[in-house]
Amino acid sequence: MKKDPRFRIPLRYLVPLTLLLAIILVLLLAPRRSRPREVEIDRTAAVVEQVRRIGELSSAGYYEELVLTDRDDSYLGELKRASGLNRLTGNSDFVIICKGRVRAGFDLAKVQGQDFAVSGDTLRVALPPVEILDVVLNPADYELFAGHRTHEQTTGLLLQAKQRLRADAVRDGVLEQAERSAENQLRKLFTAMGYNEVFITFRKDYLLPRE
Amino acid sequence: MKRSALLLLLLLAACSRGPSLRDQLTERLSSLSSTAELGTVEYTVRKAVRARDEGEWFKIGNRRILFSCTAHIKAGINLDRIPLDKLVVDESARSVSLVLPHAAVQSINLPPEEIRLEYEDVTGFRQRFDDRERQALLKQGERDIVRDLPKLGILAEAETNAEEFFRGMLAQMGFENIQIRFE
Repeated sequence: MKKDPRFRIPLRYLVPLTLLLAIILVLLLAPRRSRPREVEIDRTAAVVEQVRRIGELSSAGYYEELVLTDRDDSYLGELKRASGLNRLTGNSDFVIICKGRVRAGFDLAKVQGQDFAVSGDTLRVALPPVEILDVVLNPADYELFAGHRTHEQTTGLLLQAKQRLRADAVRDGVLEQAERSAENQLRKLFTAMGYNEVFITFRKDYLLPRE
Repeated sequence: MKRSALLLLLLLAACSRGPSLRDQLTERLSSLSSTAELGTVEYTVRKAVRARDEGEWFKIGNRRILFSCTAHIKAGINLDRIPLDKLVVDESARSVSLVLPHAAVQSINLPPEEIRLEYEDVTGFRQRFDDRERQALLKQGERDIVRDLPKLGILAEAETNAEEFFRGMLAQMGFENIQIRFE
C-alpha cells in the first residue's frame, strides 16, 4: 500500500519542526522541573553612624494590630467597582496589616538639679513630662495583604500607620500608664535605698494632647 | 439558554467575595503594658541592602536592587531585674553597694521614612521587584542588623553608661562610697 504523497512531510521540514517542538516542550517543562533560584542578597556590613548617650526611662508599652486600606481612586479603579468587574478581576486596593509598638516614658536627661531634693530620709523627685519615646514599625512588623504599590507609596501608607499608632496609644492611656508605672518602680527602688518618704511628681507641661 | 444562564450565575457566585473578610480585617487588636527599662545608649546604624536576581536559565534578563536604611538601636538595663535584696546601704558611712542586671537591647527601630530605594535595574523580559519581594529583602536586612548587634559593642557601652548614670544619681543623693557591679 503506497502513501498519498500529498500527506507526506518533506524531510527538509521534518528536522526544524522536530527541533521547534523540542524547544517548546523544554520551555514548558523547565520552569516546573527546575528549582527556582533564590534572589541573592549580598552581605553588607552595618556601619555605626552615631553613638548617643541617653537616659530614657521607658515605663509603658503599647502594641496594636491595625489594617490600613489605600483605596484605588483612579478612573479605572472606580470603573471596575461601578461595573462590578472587580468581582471577576479583583480590585486594585492596597491592604496592609501592621503590628506596631509604642514606647512611652521619660527623658531623664531633662531632670535638673532642682528636680531632685534629699532631706533626711525624705526624697523628692520631679520627673520631666511623660512622652512617646518610640513608635516602631519595622519591615518585619507589617504584612502586605492585597494589592501593589511602589516603594514610595508603601512608605507613605506606613507613615500614616505610625501616626495612627501614636494617636491610638495616647488615646488608650499609654502616657498615664507610663506615669503610674514609673512612680511605682522608682518608689520601690528609692524605698529599698532607705528613704521612708518618697515624693514623685510630674511636670505637667505635656508634649502631647491627651484627648 | 437556561443552562448557560445557570452556569453564569454559578460563576458569579464563585467569584464573589463576601464583606465578612473586610469586617474581620478592620478589627483592631491592642494592648497596654507596664515596663521599667532604663535606656542608656542609642546607636544609629546605616546599612545597604543589596540583591541580585539573575533568574533561571530560561529567563531572559537580570534584576538588581539597592536599598539604604537607617536603624536606631537602644540598649540599657531592665529596672525590674535589679536585685533589691542585694542592695546594701550604710548611712553612717554614706556608702551603697548596688547590683545591676546586664544590659540588653531594648528597641530596634527602622523608620519607614529612612528606608530609601536607591537603585533598581531591570533588563530583558524581567519584571520589577514587587511589593512582597521588596519587603522580603528589607526583612532580611533587619535580621542582618539584629545578627550583627553583638559585634557593635552596644551592650558594653550601655553598661558603662548605666553605671555612670547610677553613680551620678547616688552621689546626688549624698552617697560618697558607691560600689556598682553587674550580675
